[in-house]
Formats: sequence, structure tokens, C-alpha cells
Amino acid sequence: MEKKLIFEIGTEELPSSCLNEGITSLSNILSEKLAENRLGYDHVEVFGTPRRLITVVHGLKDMQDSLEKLVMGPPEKISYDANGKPTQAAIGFAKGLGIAVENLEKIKTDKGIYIGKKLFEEGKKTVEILPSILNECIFLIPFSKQMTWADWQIRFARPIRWILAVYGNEVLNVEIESLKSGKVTYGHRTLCPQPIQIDNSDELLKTLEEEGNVIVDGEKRKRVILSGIKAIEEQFEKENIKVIINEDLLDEIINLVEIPNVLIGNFPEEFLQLPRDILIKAIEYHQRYFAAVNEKGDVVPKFIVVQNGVSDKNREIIKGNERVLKARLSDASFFYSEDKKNSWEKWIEKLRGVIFYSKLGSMYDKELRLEKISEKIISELNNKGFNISDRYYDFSGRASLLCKTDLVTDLVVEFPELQGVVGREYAKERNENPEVCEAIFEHYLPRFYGDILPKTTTGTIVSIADKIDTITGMFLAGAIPSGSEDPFALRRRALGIVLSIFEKGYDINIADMVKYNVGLYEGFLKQDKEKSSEIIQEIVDFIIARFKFTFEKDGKRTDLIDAVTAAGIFSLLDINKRYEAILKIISDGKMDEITLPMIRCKNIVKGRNFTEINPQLLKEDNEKDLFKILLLKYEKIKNLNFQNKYDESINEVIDFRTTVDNFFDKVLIMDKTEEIKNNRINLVKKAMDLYMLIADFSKIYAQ
Amino acid sequence: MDFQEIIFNLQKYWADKGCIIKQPLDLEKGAGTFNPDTFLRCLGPEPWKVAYVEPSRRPTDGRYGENPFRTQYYYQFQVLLKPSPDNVIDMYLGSLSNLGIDLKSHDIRFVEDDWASPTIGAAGLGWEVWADGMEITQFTYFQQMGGIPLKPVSAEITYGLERIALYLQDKDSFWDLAWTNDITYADVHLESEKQWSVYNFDVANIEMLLDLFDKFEKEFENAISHDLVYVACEYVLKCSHVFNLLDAREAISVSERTLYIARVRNLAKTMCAAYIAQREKLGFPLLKNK
Repeated sequence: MEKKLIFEIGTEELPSSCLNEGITSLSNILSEKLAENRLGYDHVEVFGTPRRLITVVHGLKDMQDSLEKLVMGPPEKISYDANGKPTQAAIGFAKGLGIAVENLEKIKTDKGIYIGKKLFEEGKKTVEILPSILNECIFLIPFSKQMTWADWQIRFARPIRWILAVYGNEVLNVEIESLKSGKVTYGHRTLCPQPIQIDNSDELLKTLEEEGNVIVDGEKRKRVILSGIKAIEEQFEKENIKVIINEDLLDEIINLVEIPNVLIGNFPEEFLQLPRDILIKAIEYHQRYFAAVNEKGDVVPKFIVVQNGVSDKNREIIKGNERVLKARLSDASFFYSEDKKNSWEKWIEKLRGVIFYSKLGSMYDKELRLEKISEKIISELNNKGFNISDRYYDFSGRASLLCKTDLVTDLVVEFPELQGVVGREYAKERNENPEVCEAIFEHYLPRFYGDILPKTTTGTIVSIADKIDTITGMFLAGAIPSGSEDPFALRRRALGIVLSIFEKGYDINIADMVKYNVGLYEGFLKQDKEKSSEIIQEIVDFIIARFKFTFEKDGKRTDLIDAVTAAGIFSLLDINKRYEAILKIISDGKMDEITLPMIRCKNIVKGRNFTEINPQLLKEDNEKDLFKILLLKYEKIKNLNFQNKYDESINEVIDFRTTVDNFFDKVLIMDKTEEIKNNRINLVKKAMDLYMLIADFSKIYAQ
Repeated sequence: MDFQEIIFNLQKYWADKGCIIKQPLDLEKGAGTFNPDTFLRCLGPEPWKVAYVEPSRRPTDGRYGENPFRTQYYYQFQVLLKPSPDNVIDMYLGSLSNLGIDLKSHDIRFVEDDWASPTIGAAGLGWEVWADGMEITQFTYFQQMGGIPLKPVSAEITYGLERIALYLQDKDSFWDLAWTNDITYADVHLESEKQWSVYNFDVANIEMLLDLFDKFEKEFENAISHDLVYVACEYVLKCSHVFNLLDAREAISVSERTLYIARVRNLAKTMCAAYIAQREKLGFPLLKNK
């Protein structure tokens, strides 16, 4: 028999991001647990509202599948002695299975007769197993923000207030601390505060919607919101009003309401004098309203609010929201008009007084560094064949100088979320080049995981420069992220660098940039030379770690990245190309041709000192051979690498194996004469360095 | 409903829910959280239920009485429930109904707002509560105080009294609120708001404040060295308020700011740990009432 399982975790209002995390992970966790427990089902659906996560398992079988398996033991001949008595091997095996030794069976295989046992585990009733599975699911949801409440031990996104678990018409017993599951759910917080009883698992969603005023399915809430918006657009057909659907905002609003009610309100026309983007942001951000435009694309003095509920007093709700928006917009326009009285010069002057970070100088100092780093990025890219014209030196210089100024504008001080947007708008008003205006906004990108990346050349370059500068500065000042502590979001910044580089294909050597950047901090921080090279390495590793993180998420092998970076390669694109080439060798099954001889070299040179090879001291043919081929291959591989032809340069080292093997087989390294011995070690070191031109292959895990 | 009736109403409501009703702390502080009835009582295992009005001072929020929504002196109504009851949100919504807000026909929203006060090493998770878009309450489950994880967890409900009054009286400015039938909020507070704004931003004696900070910090040490936790607590608040005034006077640079915050936090940490130790020595007397 198959029945439907419904499992509802009732909570206090979940943040939107937690709701998404909960839906995704519950579905995965439960599917996994059901499979693990041999429970057959048709499909799993997970829904969520601010106050609940609901899992529906369709067509769940009422019996667990039985388990039949064969456990193999030792060969028969060592299991019984000459008299047919069980040996220690058989006794131990039977004991391990928890059965009497007489119950062991003989099993024929290709390799002869073995002892073993066919085990049969009968499937249990689904209702017996489900409670512990559901209980586990609650604990396994990995919310990124968790809390505790009262004297409960469990951590969850927000307090859990009820659990409903019904299979068919049977209530399952799930217990979390003092909370016991049942067949009771709750509807909308204010519209239907009383408990609702659910007797059959088929009823839940329907009853919640009809009695409880809760639309469980987020997709459906989205449709209701969109059709509500459409109805309003039709209502204002004459004015030709179009609501700006900001998708991120829409996704958030869906998670803020259990039943959406779309309303339209007005704000005074005087606020239309605010620049378009600032006005729209001010409408959207704090209050989660949608803005609207007319056919010309100008903002109209109306806003859309999505209420959580259905009300007979729409007018009052609208009025309340109008009052709040009016106050927000009067703040914004007051500060905007104050800002109009100011100039770049004044703001830049003010920036000198804003500390970037203790001991790292002012924001103005930061801007000067950005200008220099941007310059270096452009010249490095041009050295590598990018044709970035000279105008971009001016653009990035100007954008660097202006990009932080909006931090001291009154509008951003009051509405920090407008940073970047205000900078761009004020730059437009002050007739800066469009490339510069855009770069001012874009240099903050990405602002969060999954955010858009800069599109303009200048925006990308200044964005990379800014992120390198912040990471470098924080490391120098000792504000290094540890564990879950990353107050300056350095990991997100590092990831931003990686993503921008790949987006644009900018071949930037991270190590060079960081080193240059560290130099720019001289005069702010006392640095001792030795320590600073350590820190440079730490910073580079930190950025590379984000690169590995994205790689790992794509299911790629991080040991290959370690191998390449160990050879001193710090251009992400270059690393990627070498990665691809090495991967190809692995899939061709030729990796041993490189790693085996290389490891042989490595073992010889470990812990020794080296000098130049003296060709006069080369005595035997095989060592002369090795030397000659080494010199040839050095030039060849360097050349091929320069042209990014890694497939070919790897073939060169594969081809190198015979030479190395012959040398090791025929030449005795540990010669009696010290000079000759040392010369041979130097030769081996040189051979190892040849491999290192591509990667430290010895770091690659054998499969 | 008059401004003062809102206070009577909330006091009665929470008294009926088992809270003791206390009066404000007779010291300057930025929020009801700093009152030892929250600051200290949220620590350790003992239960505590309290409600009180808290006049709160935030010197940088002064606007010379020209902003309708923002003042350097305003009133919070603070409720602390420890441990947080299972039906705490229903209790809270009940208080709104009791104030005459028809929950069914208005849009009451719990919008994620996690709270942290680095100055006192405190953090919590919760919401701002919106009524038709207006933020009227901060609702927080304390997770940490003075850097110490809290168990049991308290629920802190902080009503913004002026905002609730705006909503209930359908007014657009604090100044227009009816304190009683014939006295407005402006009658009570506008002149002092102007004077304090001038003082906070333009007049306060910076040298004296810098000196006071150091002295208060020293006196904290003196008090704590004699195990006088409640006295020490007041010196944490004094330091914190002096710091806020210095901030309003723009007397401290951004980097110094971090250092001052760290100094106050250290005092708070020391004091919180000392408070728990002291209650433990007393055998956590309030556990007996459980």
C-alpha cells in the first residue's frame, strides 16, 4: 500500500534566506534518508512560508523493502581443519555476524569455495521507522544562521512551535525536546490563530489554504502577486503604468507573506525630483515596495505594497504605508538637496578624515592606491596582449579617485544601502564620463554571493584592485579571517576577484599584484622584509583558496591546483589551463610517466643544497645525455608554456621519462668522489626543476 | 489613545502576564537593554520577568527638534521574559490588540532583524515588527551578553512608544502626539530636545568628557575590585554614555572609536562574568521560585 506523508515544522517567522535553505536541504535530506532506509516512494515535494516548512512524500510504501545480502567470509580451506572442525578464522567470522558457526554456509565462487552467510532482514512497517527519520531531518538542516530559545538545546533558524506528522491517517510520533508532534497545524497568524486539525494527509494543503488563509506553495504566491500587479496595471491603463519587478525583491516578498494582497499607494509628487535610481532604491529597499514607471520610463508617484493577509480595511493599510514611505523619501530628498550644495573636492577632503582601517590610512589613501593598482593591472594585461587603450588609464584613475566619495555624502550616511548608486548618480550629474560613472557603481560588485559582476572594463579593473587592496591591508593589519569569523567579508571579496577574472578572461598574476600592493602600504605600517614575504604568500593562498572553493563546487580536483600553485603559478587563468592539460594526461592514464620519475628525483634532492652543474664533471654517457636533453627541453617547455601550449609541454616531460630512468638505472649517484656526487645531485635537481616548469606533479593524488 | 495611556495600558497588560513593573533606571543610557534589569538579569540560569518604561538617549540622533521621527531622547517600553515563553509572540500580539489595534484588518509583519551591540558584547536574533509598514517594536531572542552565551534565552520586546502612538493617533510627527487631551509631546519635549541637540553637537566640553571617560573607567575597576557588581554596572553605562556624547561631538576619529568601543566592551565582559559568579555564590536564589 502507498500513502502520502505530510511533515510540517511550524516555526516563528523565518528569515527569507533561511526559508530557501530549509526548502532545499529538507528535500535533499529526506530523499537521502528514505533511500538509505529502503523506503520506496514516488516523489518528494517541499514547501515553505514564513511560519512553516512542509514536506510531502507522495506514494510512500507502507513497508520497508526487505534486505537480502550475502556476506562473504574466508576461503573454506582455512576455515576448517583437517578434521572438519571450524578454525579460528571461521569462529571469528561467525562471531562478527552474531551467528553460530554451524549456521555458516559454503559458497562457490570462481576462486573456489568460501564460507559466508546469506542474510535476510525483513522490512519493517514504515510508520515504525519514519519518526526517527523525521526527527533526524530537523537536526540536519544546515541553516547558515541558527539560534536557541528558552532552555532548549536544539539550534534552528527560528524557534520551532509545532510539528505535524501524518502518514495516511496515522499520526507519527516525532519528539523534539518538550515538543511532541501531532495532527494539529495553524493558519495565518492573525487571520486564523486557532489550531486546525488534520485527520488525513491528503487534506493539509487544501485545508491550510481554505481555512487557514495560507498559500503553502511559494510558486503560487508568486503567481498571486504577479496577477495582483497586473490587475493594478490594468486599473491604471490610461496612465500606462508599469510596475518595476525587481526579481530579487519579488523572491524575498514571496517569503515574507503567507497570503499576499497587492495594494497600491501614492507618495507626494515633490519626491520625483530625486534621481531615478536613488528614488527606486529608496522605495524598494527598506519597505520592500515595488516602484512603478510610465511609458517614458519615468518613475510615477505610486508604489506597490504586498500585504500579508486579506483585509477589509485596505485603505487604512495603504495610508499607514504611505506615511512611512513619505517619511523615508523626505529624509532622502533632504539629504539629496544637502549633497547638491557640495563638490567632489569637499568630499575628497572629508575622505581624508575617514579611516579605512586602523593603521591603514584614510579612504583617500585607499583611493590613491587603487589608482596605482588599476594602472598596474592594465599594463600587465597589455603586456599579455590585451589591447586596453590608454584612455582606460584615465578612466580607472578617475574612477579610483571618485569611487569612495559617496561614503561621506549625507544621502549614503543616511541610506548606506545606496552606496555606489549615489556615487554613480552624482557622477552623472557632474558630467563624468559614462565609463567612470558605471565603474563607481560596479567597483562594489559582487556585493553578496550570487550578485552580478562588473560589466565595464574600468569597473572590473577597479573592482579587482579594491578587493586586492582590502584583503592585503587587512592581512597586513592582522585582521585575518578565521573559521566562521570574517567580519570584513574578505572571503566574498576574494571570490569576487576570482569570478571577475574568469568573467573577463583577465590574465592577472595575483602574487605580483599583492606584492605590489604590499609595497604601497609602506609608510602606513612598519613591515619587516622577511615577514612581508610570508604575508604575501598567505594572502595569495587565501585568494587561491577561494578559487579552489569554486573549483571544488564544480566537482573539480583541488590537488591539481595545489600542484600547479606549488610551481609558483599565480595567474588563475594560467592555473586553469595547466589544470585542463594535466587532467587530460590523467584520463589518458599517463600520469605515472611523470609522477614516478619526478618523485624519484625529489627523493634524491630532499634536504640538500645545490650549486650550478659543472659539465666538466659529467663522466658517464647517461648523465651527459640527461644534461643535454635537459637543456634542450628547458628551452622547449618554456617556449611552449609561454604560448600556453600545455598539452605539448606536458608531452615533453612524459617523453623525458626514459632519459631519467636510464640515468637512475645506469649511473651511481653516490660516487666516492664528493665533487662528482654533488654534481650529480645538482643534475637531478635540475631535472626536477624541469617538471616544476609545469607543476609539482608529486602533489597529485594517485587514483 | 493618549501617549500616557499607552504606557498605562502596556504596564497593566504585562503585569497581568506576571511581569514585575519597574521604573526607569536613574541614569543616562542608550536603550532599555542597558538597564541592569535586562543587562544583568538576562545572565545566568535564574528566571526573570520584568517590564518598564526606559527613557533612552542617543545623542547622534538629535535633529534640533526638526525631524518628525527622530530625537536624541525618546521612550522605550521594555519587556524581558526569561526564559522566553513558548507563546511569546501570541503574548506580544495580545498586547497590540489590547492597545486597540485590530490585528485582522492590519498588516502585522515580523521582518528579520538581527541585533548586535558590540559595545556590550551582545547579540541576538529576531525581528522588527511592522504595523502597516511602520516599525513599532524590536523583538529579540538574546543569544549573548558581555560575550557570554545565554542559557536560558530571554525574549526582549522593545516597543517604540512614540511610533506606536503615531500609529494609534494617526499622526505624522512625534511633536503632534497627544500626551494627554490638552498637552502634546511638543509641549513636553520640544524645547529640551532643541537644547540637548545644541549641547550634544556643539557645546559639550570635549576635554571634560575625555577626562570623565578615563575616570569612570578607573572607578569601574575600583568598584569591581570590591565585588560591587551593581555599582560597576553603572560605571559601564556612564562610560558608554560619555562615549556617545564624544561621538556626537565628532571628537574621536574612526580608529579611536574602535578602541573606545573595545574599552567599554571589556568592562561589560568583566562585569557580566562577575555578576554570574556572584549569583552562583548566592546559590542563584531565584531558581527556588521556579
